[in-house]
Parts: sequence; structure tokens; C-alpha cells
Amino acid sequence: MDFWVHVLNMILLLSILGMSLNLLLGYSGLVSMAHAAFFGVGAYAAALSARHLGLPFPLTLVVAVALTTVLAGLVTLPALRVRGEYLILLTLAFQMVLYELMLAWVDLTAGRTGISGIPRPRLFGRALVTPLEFLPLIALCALGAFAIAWRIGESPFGRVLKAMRDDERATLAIGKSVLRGKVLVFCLSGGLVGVAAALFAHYQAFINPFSFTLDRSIFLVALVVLGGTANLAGTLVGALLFVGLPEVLRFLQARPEIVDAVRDLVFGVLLMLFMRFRPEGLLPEHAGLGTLGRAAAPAPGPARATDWLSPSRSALGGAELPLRAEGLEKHFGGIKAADGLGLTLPRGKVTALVGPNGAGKTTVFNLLTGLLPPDSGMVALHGRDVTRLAPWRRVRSGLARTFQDVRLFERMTVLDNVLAAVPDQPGEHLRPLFLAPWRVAAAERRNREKALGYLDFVGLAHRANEVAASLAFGEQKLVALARLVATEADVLLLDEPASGVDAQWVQRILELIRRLAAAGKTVCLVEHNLEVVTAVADRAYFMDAGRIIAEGRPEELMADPRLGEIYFGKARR
Amino acid sequence: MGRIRFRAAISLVALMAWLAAPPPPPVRAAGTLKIGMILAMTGPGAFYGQVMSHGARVAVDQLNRAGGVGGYKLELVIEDHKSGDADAAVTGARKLLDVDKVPVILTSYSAPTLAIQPLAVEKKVLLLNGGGVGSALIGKPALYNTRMLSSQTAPFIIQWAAGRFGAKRVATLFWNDAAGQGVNGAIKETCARLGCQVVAEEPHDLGAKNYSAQLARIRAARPDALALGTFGDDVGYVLNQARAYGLTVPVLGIDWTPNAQKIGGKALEGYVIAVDRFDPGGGDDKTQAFVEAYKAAYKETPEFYAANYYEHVQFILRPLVKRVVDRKGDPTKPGELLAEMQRALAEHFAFPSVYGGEMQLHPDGTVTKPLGVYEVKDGNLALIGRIVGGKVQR
Amino acid sequence: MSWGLIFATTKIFHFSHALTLTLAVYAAVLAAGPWGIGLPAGFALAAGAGCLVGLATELAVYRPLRRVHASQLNIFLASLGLLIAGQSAVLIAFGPQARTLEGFPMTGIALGPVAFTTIEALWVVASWLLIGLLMAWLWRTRHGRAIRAVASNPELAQCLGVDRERVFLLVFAVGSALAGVGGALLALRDTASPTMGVQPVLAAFIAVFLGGIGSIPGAALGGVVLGLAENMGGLVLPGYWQGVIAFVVLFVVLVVRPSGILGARGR
Repeated sequence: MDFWVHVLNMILLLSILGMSLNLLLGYSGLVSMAHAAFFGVGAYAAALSARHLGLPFPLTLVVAVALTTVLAGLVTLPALRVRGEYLILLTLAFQMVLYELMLAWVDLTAGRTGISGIPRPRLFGRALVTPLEFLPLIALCALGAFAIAWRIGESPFGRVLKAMRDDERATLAIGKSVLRGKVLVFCLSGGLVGVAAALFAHYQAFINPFSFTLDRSIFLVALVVLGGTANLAGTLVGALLFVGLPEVLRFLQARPEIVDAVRDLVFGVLLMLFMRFRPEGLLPEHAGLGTLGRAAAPAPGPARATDWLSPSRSALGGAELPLRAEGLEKHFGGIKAADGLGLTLPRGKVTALVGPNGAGKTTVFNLLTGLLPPDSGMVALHGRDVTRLAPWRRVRSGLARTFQDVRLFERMTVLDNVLAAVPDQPGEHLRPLFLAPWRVAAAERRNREKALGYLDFVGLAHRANEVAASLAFGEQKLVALARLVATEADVLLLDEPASGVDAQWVQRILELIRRLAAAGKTVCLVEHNLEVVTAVADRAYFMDAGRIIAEGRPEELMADPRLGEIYFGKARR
Repeated sequence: MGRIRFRAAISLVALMAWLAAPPPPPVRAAGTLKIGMILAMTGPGAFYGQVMSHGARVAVDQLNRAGGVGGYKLELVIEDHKSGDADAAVTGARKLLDVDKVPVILTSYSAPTLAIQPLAVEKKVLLLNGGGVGSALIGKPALYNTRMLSSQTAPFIIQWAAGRFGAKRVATLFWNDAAGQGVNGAIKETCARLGCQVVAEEPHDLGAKNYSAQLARIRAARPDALALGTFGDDVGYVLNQARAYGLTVPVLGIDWTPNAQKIGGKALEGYVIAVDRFDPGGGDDKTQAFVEAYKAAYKETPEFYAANYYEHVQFILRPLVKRVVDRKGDPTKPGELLAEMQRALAEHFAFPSVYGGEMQLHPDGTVTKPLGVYEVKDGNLALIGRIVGGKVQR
Repeated sequence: MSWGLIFATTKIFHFSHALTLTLAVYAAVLAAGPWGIGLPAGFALAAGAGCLVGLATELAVYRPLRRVHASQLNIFLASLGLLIAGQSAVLIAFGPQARTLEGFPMTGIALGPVAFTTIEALWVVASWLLIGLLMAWLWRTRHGRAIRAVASNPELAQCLGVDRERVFLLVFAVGSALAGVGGALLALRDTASPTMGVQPVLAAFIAVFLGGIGSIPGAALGGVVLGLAENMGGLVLPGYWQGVIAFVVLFVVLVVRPSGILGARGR
């Protein structure tokens, strides 16, 4: 009996670890190859504080959690500067360094001999010794970890994490800070690891470095991926199978020397098969238990209020020009992408940026939004100098853009895509999330209605619960537009909104653009399709080689032969 | 897609079962005494698990053929700690204790032994360790080690070096763990007593295979002798490189295995060790009985670790079980064997040793066994001195 | 370099390179030992076996994954799965004990205060020879240029008529053969075991990232720097801290200069 309870305890501990990693890997798209090392640090912290400082159990847990949280946070510092695949390597290096430290720092950790005789926890006057006595404590912690992870993952904060996972640039473009998300989620993950670590140290009463090797980290990653990323129930199932099944097979009375090798063989093969045939894991993101509490399908009801569209609302900033840029310069090596560029965008009008390929039109957008810092020059939003402001903050000040390649959050639902962009959500901050859940829930209800309203505006409210990747390209463009409007910015930059789709979509998009302008939004678009430009733009800028060389009504510009030559190239003789 | 995956998973599990499938389980006799073993069956140390289990099995087969012990048939139940994984050891031990209900467990490696020792105390089970020993394993209730601490044997190599080569400057190279450090400590102490100087102390990682940095520093210190606190295969690698780097001074140590000999080859010639050593060519008729039986079963001469675990079953458990049975007790009950061991030790019961002669187990978990000084000649160990009454004799 | 070549060209985090190495080395061990066909033949066999394993990996594992647009992480995990499965298979087939690679005597050479062995001398000579050959091949031949083209700009290379898939096969073949030879060289001193491939491949990652991904000479440079750092560090710090040094170096490089010493900057 004790044996199976012990196995259950190990499964539960592994689940806590797995859920902490799922938060990082599944929800945020951040790989950590160092979780076994974090686990080890937490375990040593608990063990050493119990043995040398004489701290009782709940305090050792606090020590462990504090240490692992800080450590995980430290990893983010270099991590913020490197790209995705580098993170694998960075955390790999972290894991190896920590592991070698555990082995080599013999004065502190007793090296490979390990630390034995870790005192048992005392609860309600009794010491916990047997697996059965530990079970309630471990189960409770596992439940707590699940609750916390689930709350984080399925909240507005979690939505930002998922957005970050799917497309970091797009997340910045809807006005959400990626930095904050990364640091917080790493710290949270680290904290959960600390809980499991302290429990483990006291449960086993003996720890040594070999429980915290790279192999364990890899196993954890595989567990999370196979169980199902962004699905906490999947992690539980995974832990059950990967620990429980081998224990059952132990009883086949097999030749011990090859049982383990055979098990590893099967594990490796399964890993390969899953990656090929079912990369989303056993329980995928949008299936089963992991989605408890996710929104139900919206009722097909009357068109929602579109009061945000009425002209009176957008009287922000008074007399100032919504957007003004002066003297923007940007060099790449020897190439001048922007050369003393300046433009203004008036309210309630649609301005177009045209020019041949390579003229620097998308660069202008990148400069205006701050994705690309200018070498010199100034950008003013409603009279306020925002040149030094971070991209995501500019969105909050009222300047937002779409992308030429759409960049929806592919693995999220259409509704979540739009919902993520709504500003000022209390649920995106951890304190209200845990301390004022009712306020978060109320705000969430309101924001859902808003998001559905935006989807209504583009005519896609009936597809709200579908995964964004399953939509046709034209529909995706409409969703991107809804997402843009959801940011409540009043200066909207549209990068090639009509490209890549056929006529019927173009008409819908143009109609929407006109309505936006009519409602007082300031719209600027980059376009190659001159018919589109004439159809919707009030005025246009003509760009070539990083400078604006003409400005006026679209018809005027198109009639100018000089511009035509630049655009189409000199006629062949 | 789901179906393919499902079928793949099923066939994989079936494959696993087939690959791992054994001969059908042996028929259980009424009155079976199960002996648990937790060994390195997989991983880098799998060799040791293999020979340890072979040694025990030879004893079990011998005894069963003779009708068992005190009317009980013996059965080995082996679990794997994967060359030092404490978690696996604990799970394996729990299975042995709860499901198989073994009254005795033979363990190996420090970390697994330390991890399961509290369990043994809780379930009143006897623990016998015939593998690596370090100071951390001494003085632990229910745990009895049948190898002498290398820190107990190390002083004799210094005695030998001082006496034979007149060594005044000694360099040490040792495992960076409790066992190696114990040896280093003992060497330093002995040197202090005998008046030689320790000119270099170099710890190294287990299984490192590359000792260039340490050897460079040792060479620079110009020692008269090099003392190793290194075990197993590493001895071979160390000697290879030491000789290749031009270190010509005598090398002494506390461990030698046939595998290390294979790895080191000629570099091991002249290597001197002081160990509680199992000499398949020496000892007495008990030794020969074991060597013959092992050769018959496994076509190889048994080495040190196989001998220790044979000894556990044949010369420790057998007498203990007999004593319990003679008292009309039930050795399969938890606590009986452990209590009997304590009783025996209180009476200074001398257990026979497969090394020849007898050995003394002590209540603090240490052991005193026949010790000798050996030198590697032509790829084999040759006895060059005995240790009697704490002094080396030629 | 063999790993760096594959990574730079295919952008695949080819962790199971470790398995390629191991299988190739075991082939050499069999050749030099039980099959008795001598050490040079063993090296040739290692190169051949490595080549085959690498090709098989690309064809059976990576190519199908690319077709379903698997993510970087998933490809890495598949590579890992292959490594785990492969190592277990080797363990079951050959047993856990280390095997020696016979045939090259290890004798000491002393040049003044510097002492090393004949095996290490062989390593130095062989490595630089192979590096030189590889660089010459990459810079002077048509195939080599094709590889470098794909490494720096796959789309453009395809427009110019270079078949990306065939180039991938080529780098896997060459890279894996090199790994086989390198592994065999290692095994002369350090013997062969089922898990022998992991450490060298980890060192390879570090060297590649140190020297700059996408830069093949960078990988060689990275290797040199890493080796120096480890051994210099070994002289200053107690020997058993050597393991830490390599990864601390990597960490520092990743933080301070993620593109590596010779690496291309920017996205």
C-alpha cells in the first residue's frame, strides 16, 4: 500500500513541476531547460535551512520558494536580450552551471554524497513520516499549484502570455508589455518549483545532485509537451502515465538490467512519434478539462451598440494634430531607409503612403510606432513628443498599427485575439487577479461585450470561438482590423490592408476604413494597389528612397508623369 | 491520426513487454526468504550491478541446492538504482519493503544507501553494503558495511611508501567526494605521524577521464610518490595519463579492479595497493568453493564486488538465519534478522569471510577484514605484504 | 565544426548528433577489435557509419517534421527522442561497459616542461587537417559554395537554382562523417560507451555559439577559445571546477554578445 501511495506522491510532485513548466512553455512559449536545476536549488535551500538553521517546515518552504523565484527572475535578465532558440541554450547553460556547482561546492552541499537526515515536517504536533502521512500535504499543495497555474493561465494575464507566445511583435503592437509578462511568468514558475522542491526535500529526507541533472530537465520538457502544452490537465495525465506506467511494468518481473533501457527506448520513440503526428500533445490546448471556465459561444443576438463609432467620442487632444513627424532619419549600414522624413496626419481623414518597392514605407510605420528607433528626428502624438516612448506605450497613448502579414495570435480564438487588445484590463495584473477576483470578472464581462462589438463591426462575431489559424486569409485580415480597433487608439496605421485578398474582401475592408474615418479616427495606410488608394484615401504622400517627394490628392499624384516614372520605372525603348 | 497514434502506443507497450519478458516466475516454496537487492543495474555503473547480483546469485543457488537455510528457500529480488539515483533507490526500496516484504536489503553506492537507510530503520530491515564506503555511511542504524573504509586502509600505503621507497614528499590525487576526501585526510594524518610531507592535493571528478590539469600541478611539485584516492575504472585512466605525462614515481592506492587493469594496461605495472582484498588465487577453501562455483556459472573469475555480495548471503545471512531458526523465530518477519545481527555483534560473533579466515563486524557499521599489500605484476595482483596488528609485514 | 556546419545550414538544433557520434565510434570499435580489420579501416568505417546515420536522421526524422511545419522546439524534442531511444538501443545491444578503441599506442612525449601523449598529438594534427580540408572544400568547390549560400540566405539560394533539400543531405552526410571521425579520435583516449556522445556535442554547441552561429570558421575559433578557457581555468582553479567553466563561458557570451565572436549581427 505504501508503495503505491509513494508512487502517487511522486506523481503529484512531478505534476507541480510540470505545471510550473507548462506556464512557461505552453502558455508563454518560453523554453526552460533549467527547471531541474531550479528544483535542486529549492531542495538544497530547504534542506540546508532545516539542517543548519534549524528552521521548521513551513519556513523552509518559504526559503525555498523565495530562492527559486529570485533565481528564475535572474534568468530573465539575459533572456530578454536573446531570441527564442537562444533561450534553449541559455537555460541549458544555466542548468549545467547550477548542477556543476551542486557537485563542486562541497563545503555547502556535500557534493555527491548529498545531504541526509533532513528533518521531517511537524504538523499539528505529529511528524510526517510515511507516504500516507505525506499524501494530504502533497495533494493539497498540488491542488493549490493547479489552482494558481490555472488562474494565471486562463486569465487576461494568461491571454497576454499566450499572445506573447504566438507573436511577440504583435503583442507589443496591441499595447501590452512583453517584458513584464516574461519576468513575472518566470518568477511565478520559479515559485511553484520551490514549493515542490521543499516538499521533496522533506519527503525523501535525502537529496543529492543526481536528482537534478540535465536529463531531468529534458524529461520535464518532454512531459509538458507530450501531455499537452497550455493544458494543465494534460500535464497531470502526462505525469500519471510517465511515472505510473513504468512502475506498473516493474511488476512484469523482467530482467532489471534492460527494463530501464527498454523503457527509455520506448520513451524516445514515443517522443519522436508524437512530434511527428501529434505535436500538440495528449490533451491539446483547446480540448478537455484544461478549458474549464473558458468562454462559452456567444449567443447570436442583436447587433451590439457601436457608440464608440460616433464622431463625438474621438475629440481627444483638441486642436493638436493627431500625428506629426519631423526629420526622421534611419541608416542601415550605408543605406538610408529614411532621409529627413516628415509627415502629418489629420483627424478624420484617410492618408495614404505610396511609392515603389524599397521606398521605405513600412520603415516609416516602424519608425512611427517605435519598433525601429530613429537615428534622429521627432514623432509627436497629439502634440506630445513620443519619440522616446516604448512601442507598447505609444499604443496606450493612441497610436496603433496592423501588419502586412497579419500576425494574428494563431493558436488563440478569434475572440481572444480581439479581447487581448482591449486596454486597461485589471486581470492583466497579478494583484487584482488574486485579491479582487470579482472586479476582474466584472471587467472581463464588459470587455467581452466590447470585443464582440468590434467583431460585429467587421462582421465576424459568429466566428468568435474558432481558432484564429483556421480562418481564411481575408477573414484573418478582418480580425486583425477588429483587434486594431479594440486598442481604442485613434491614430490607426494600416500596412497593406487590401493586399493578398480578392475583390469582395477589398470592398469590405474599404467600407470599414471609411466608417472608421467617419467616426473621427485618423487613418494612414500603406498601399501598392492604386485603385484602393483612389477609392478610400483623402490625401496621399509619395515616397521614394526614404524621402517624401510629393503630397496631395491621390488623383493629382497619379496624374504626375514624373511620379509615374518613379513608380513604374522608365519605359523601355 | 489519433488511431495511428493509439495503435503505435499499444504496439510499443507490447514491444516493451515482449523485450523485457522473462522466463516464467519460479515456483514459490512454502517458507521462502526473500533477499532484496538495490544495485546499479543500468547506467555507467551497470557492470557493478551485474557482478554484485551474480555473486549473490551463486550463493543463493548453492544454498538452495543444499536444501535452503533452516528450511527456508532463498529468493533474490533485484531493483535498480540506475548508478546512483537516490529517487529510484527509494522507489525501489519501497517496492521491496511494501510489496515483497523483504527482511534484508543488499545495497550499493553511497547516495542510494543513505537515501534508503531511514526506510530501513522505519521498517526494521537489515541493510548490508558491500560496495563503496565513505564516512557518511558509518554509524547509521541498521546499516552494516562489509568493506573497510578506504580511510582505514590508506595509512598502510603511506607506511609502505615510507618504509620501502623512503618517500618524503607525497602527492595525492583523489575522488572529489566523501570517500576520496576520507582517503586524503587519512594520508595527511599518517604523513604527519611518519614525518613525510604532502606536497600536492588534487581532487578530481568521478569519471573525469582527463587529469591533465591536476597531473601538471603534481609534476610541478616533484613528489617521491603519488597516492591515489581513486576507485574503479578511473584508476586505469589516471595511471595511463600519469605515465604518459612522464610521472615516473611509484604510485600507490586503495582500489584495483580488473576493468581498470584493462583500461590502464601496462601503465598499471608496479601500482601498489593496500586493501581488504579478495584474492581469487589465495584465501582458503571457502574462497576456492566460491571461485569454482562462480566460474562454472559465469565463465569468469569473480572479482572483488562479486565476492562481497556472495559473502553477504553465504557468510552473513546464512549464520544469522540459522541462529533465528534455532531460537524458533521466523526470519522472514521484519525486525528478526536485524535484531539477530545486533545480538550477534554484542556477543562478538565472528563471521567467516570469503577472503579467507574471519571478519569482525562492528556495531558502528564498520568491519575488520584480512588486509594485504599488493603490487600489480604482469597485469595481475601479487601479494607482497600482510598487515598484521597494524603493521606491515613482508 | 561538424555540428556547426549542420546548424548553420539547416538551422536544426541537431542534438542527436551525439547518437551519430556514438554509433560511428562503436562501428570503429567493432572494426578495430572483434572484426580485426585494423584501426585505419576503423576510422574509415566510423566516417561511413556516421554519414549513414546522419543521412538517415535527416530523411526519417527531420524532413517529415519540416513538411508539417513543426516548431523549432518540437524538432529539438524529436532529436532528443531519437538520442534517448538510440542510446538505449546501444546499451541493450552492447552492454554498459566502456570499450577501448585499440590500435594506437599512448606514449608520452615531453617537450621541455610541456608533457603530452601521442594520442593528443594525433588529435591536434588530425583536427587542424580536417578543419583545413573542410574550409577549403567550403570555399573552393561548387558544392561548398552552395552550402554557404543556403546557410546565409535559403530563399535566395533557391531562386538561384540551388536545391535546398539536397544541400541539407550533403551537410548531414559530411557533418556526420566528420563527427564519426572526431568521435573515434576521442575514443582512443577516453574509450567508448553508450552515452559518450552527449558531452562532445554540448561542447560543440558552446563552441558554435561562442564563435558565432552561421559562421563556420567561427565554430573552429570557438572550439579553440573554449579549449583554452577550460584548460587555463583548470590550472588556476581546482580541477573539478572545470565542468563549470565551459558553461559559465557560454553564459557570459550569450549575455554579452549573443551573436558570438565572428557571428553575423542582427535578426
